[in-house]
Amino acid sequence: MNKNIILLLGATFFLNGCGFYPSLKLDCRDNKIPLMVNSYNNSKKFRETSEFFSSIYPPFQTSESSVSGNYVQTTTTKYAGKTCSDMSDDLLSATKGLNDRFIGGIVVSDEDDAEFKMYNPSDVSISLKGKVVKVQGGRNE
Amino acid sequence: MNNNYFRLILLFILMSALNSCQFSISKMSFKAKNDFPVSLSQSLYTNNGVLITKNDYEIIHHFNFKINRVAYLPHLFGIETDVSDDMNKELEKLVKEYKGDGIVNLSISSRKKIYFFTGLIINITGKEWEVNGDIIKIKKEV
Repeated sequence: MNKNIILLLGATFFLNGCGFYPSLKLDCRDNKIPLMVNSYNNSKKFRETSEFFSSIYPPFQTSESSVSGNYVQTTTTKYAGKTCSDMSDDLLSATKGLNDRFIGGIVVSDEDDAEFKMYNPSDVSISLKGKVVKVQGGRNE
Repeated sequence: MNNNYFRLILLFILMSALNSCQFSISKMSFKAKNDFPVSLSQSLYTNNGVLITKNDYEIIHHFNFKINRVAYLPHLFGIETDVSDDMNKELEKLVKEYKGDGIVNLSISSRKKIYFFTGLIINITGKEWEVNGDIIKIKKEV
């Protein structure tokens, strides 16, 4: 019996260490729009146009259970996930309307720095917030 | 009931009770505060507002480092931890060492870690951030 208990404990410990813990990567190397994450001091050159906020998250699913009469109903919702390229789309729409004379980008001001936040695996995501700016007299690539 | 079964049940009840003691990190945040420009993409702005694109610089060093955090205090809903100091110090050290002008292609990946031997009795969890990026030197003609 003692041997069985030890085996059971061993198996439980082992299985417990084999959980699914998703990892998430924010990689914007293909993005040509400047995505600055630190403060800048030259407020004369930059003109803030709007706030920017975007989040990316991997595919995951959630389950919700509700009791109805004698039945327990479980609803599973699957999220397709959102990647850095979706964030780039968010960026492009945020900088839409800037003409050749203006180069847009995400730069954060002194008061409102870009923020990355990682949440629990059940709600894992990376959020980026900042300000969309345009620079007068800039040049396009 | 067999005495051994009774002990087994007691052991599981005890485990379940202890398992509710969560030592977990629910959120990690980072704010960059450096004198040099840091960009997630391949382009950046200098402090003078000049746009620097891929053709305007050369990559002098690719870096990679990890930041780990473990929760040591029990919290029912987890705690928030700020890794800004560690991360900014590391970035500053690297730019100084390689005499760079800024950082491009900064990428961050996150992973939750459960410490194997303590995972069942008390949930001690940690988070790891892996940071990658390129230190650049801006070409003189820009």
